[in-house]
Amino acid sequence: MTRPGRRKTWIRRVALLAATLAAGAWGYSGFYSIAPSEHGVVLRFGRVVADNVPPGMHYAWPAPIGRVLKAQLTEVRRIEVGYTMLGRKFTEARRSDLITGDENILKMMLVVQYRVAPPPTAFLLRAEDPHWLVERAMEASLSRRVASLPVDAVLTTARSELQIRVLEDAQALLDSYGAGVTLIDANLQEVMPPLPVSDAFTDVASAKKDAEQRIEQAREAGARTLANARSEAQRLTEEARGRRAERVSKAEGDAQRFVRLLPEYRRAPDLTRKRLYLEAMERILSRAKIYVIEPGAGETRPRITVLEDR
Amino acid sequence: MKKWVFLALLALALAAGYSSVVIVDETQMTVITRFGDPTRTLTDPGLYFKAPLPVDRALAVDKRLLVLDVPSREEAPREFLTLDKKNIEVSTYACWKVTDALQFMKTLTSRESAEAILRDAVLSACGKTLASHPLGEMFSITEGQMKLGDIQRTIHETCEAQLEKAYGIDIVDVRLKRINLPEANRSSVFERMRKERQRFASQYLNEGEEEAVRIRSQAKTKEQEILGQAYEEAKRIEAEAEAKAYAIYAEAYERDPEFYEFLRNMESLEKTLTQSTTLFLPADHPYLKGLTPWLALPKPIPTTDVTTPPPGTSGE
Repeated sequence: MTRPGRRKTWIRRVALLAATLAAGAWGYSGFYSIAPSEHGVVLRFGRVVADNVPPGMHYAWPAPIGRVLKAQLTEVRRIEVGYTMLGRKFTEARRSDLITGDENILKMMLVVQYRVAPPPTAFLLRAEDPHWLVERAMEASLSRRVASLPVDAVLTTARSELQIRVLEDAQALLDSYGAGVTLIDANLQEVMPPLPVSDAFTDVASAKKDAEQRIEQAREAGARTLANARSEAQRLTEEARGRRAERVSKAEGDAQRFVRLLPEYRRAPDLTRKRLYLEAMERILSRAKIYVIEPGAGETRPRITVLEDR
Repeated sequence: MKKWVFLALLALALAAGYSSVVIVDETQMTVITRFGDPTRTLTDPGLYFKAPLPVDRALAVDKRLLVLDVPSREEAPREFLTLDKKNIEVSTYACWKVTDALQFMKTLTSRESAEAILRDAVLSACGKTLASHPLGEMFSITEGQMKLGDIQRTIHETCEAQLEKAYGIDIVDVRLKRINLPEANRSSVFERMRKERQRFASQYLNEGEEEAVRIRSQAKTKEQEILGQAYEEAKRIEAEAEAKAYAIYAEAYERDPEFYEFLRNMESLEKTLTQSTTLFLPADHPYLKGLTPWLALPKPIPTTDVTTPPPGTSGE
C-alpha cells in the first residue's frame, strides 16, 4: 500500500508543478514590449482598451483574453502606381497607360509615400488592407485628374500641380474609407508618351527649341542693328557739330580779318583799293589766256592782239 | 469508479463553459445560431455568453472594409462600349463591408460568394452606365464636360441599389481605377497623336519665324527712326551754324559793305578765272593802262570805276 500511495503523491506533485508552470507561462506571455518607433493597441475580450501604448515594457492579459497590436507610426511606406507587375519593364505594358483629357495616351509612373495616422486603431482595425487601399485610391485619383488635363499640361506645366491634386483627392478618399493613413508625398517618376509616338513628341520639343533659337537670333540681330544705328546717328550728329564749329570759326576768322583790315583800308581807301585790284589782276591774268581788243577796229571784226600764249 | 465519473463530468462542464463564452473582436461581428437558425447578432466587440456548443453556434463575420478589384489583377481588363460605340477597357475597384451579419449569413454565407455577386454587379453597372455616356464625357479638357465623377457615382448607386438591402452589405465605394483603349484601337490614336504633334511642331516653327520677322522689322523701323532723328539733328546743327556764321559775317561786313563787296569780288575773280580761262580785254581796260601808249587810246580811263567787274571778260 505504501508504494502505490507514494506513487500517487508523486504524480500529484508532478501534475501540480506542470499546472503551475503552465499557468506561469501563460501569465508570463502577457508581457510585451513596444519599440520606440511603434505604437501599441491593446484589446481585451476583443474590445480596444488602450489605443496609444507608449514604447517600453508592458503587461496585458494573455491570449485569448487579451490581444496586442503594434504599428510603426514613423515608418514611411511607399507604393508604386503604374509599374507593371513584371519588374520595371513598363515601356510597352498598358498597365501604366493613362488617357488625358484630349484623348492622348501617356505612360505614368507614380510613387506615393504614406504613414500610419495616429492613433493606429483605424489603420489596424478598420480596413483589411490599408496598403492596397492607398494604391487603389491613388490610381483612381490619378486617372480622373489626368482625364481632365491636356497632354501638354501633364507633360510640362501641370505636373507638380497634378501631384498635389492627386494626393489631396486620394487623401479625401482614404479618409472617407477610414483607412487610417496620412499620405505624405506623391511623386510622378515617369511621365512620357508611349514608344510608338515618342519621337513625334521629341520633334515638337526640338521645333520649339528651334523657334526659340530663331527668335533669339532675331533679337540679337535687332539689337545689333539698333546699336549700329545708334553709333551711326552719333557719328552724324558729331560730324554736324564738327562742321558747325568749323563754319563758325571760319566765319569768325573771316570777320576778324575784315575787321582788322578795315581801319587800314579806311586810312587810304583809293590807294588800297587800287593796290588790291592790281594785285588781284596780276594773279588772275598771270594764268589766263588774254586777248586784247582794239576799240577802234571793233566795228565789224575786232583786231586781236595776243599778249601771252601758253 | 465514482472518481472517474466525477472527472468526466468536470471535463464536460469545462468544455461547456468554454464553448458558452464568445469573444467578439473589434474587427468582427458574430452571429449566434441555435440548432442552425440564426438568433442574434453580436455587433459590438466584447465578451458574450451563449448556450454551449451543440445548441448555440457562434459564426464570426469580418466587418472590416474589404477591397475587391474588378476585374482582378490577374485578369485582363474588361472591354465596354461607350454611347458613341467606342471600345474602352476599364478596371475598377470596389470597397465593401458587411453591415448586417445575419442577412449576410443567410444569403451569402462566405466572402467568396459575396465577391462573386459584387463582381457581377459592378460589371453590369459599368456596362450599363458607360454605354450611356460618350467617350467625350470620360475624357475632356473642357470644364464641366468631364463626367467621370457622375459616371462613378451612377455605377456606385446602381450596385448599392442592387445589393445592399438584399445581402446585408454596404458598398462603400466603386471607382474606376483606369480606363484604357483596347490594343486594336491604339494604333489609330497613335496616328492621331502623331499628326497632332506634327501640327504643333510646324506651328511652333511658324510662330517662331513670325516672331523673328516681327522683331527684325521692328528693329529696322527703329533704326530708320534713329537715323532720321540723327539726320534731322545734324541738319539743325548745320542750320544753326549757318545762321551764326551769317550773323558773324553780317556784323563784320556791315561796317563797310562796299569794301566787303570789293574784296569779295576780287576773291571771287581769282577763284573763277583759272588757267583754262581765256580773257578778251578791251585795249582801254584799266589794267592795260600801261599798254595803251602803243595802242590807240581815245579817252582816259576813269579810275573810280574799278569796283565793277571789268567789262568784256568772259570765262570758258
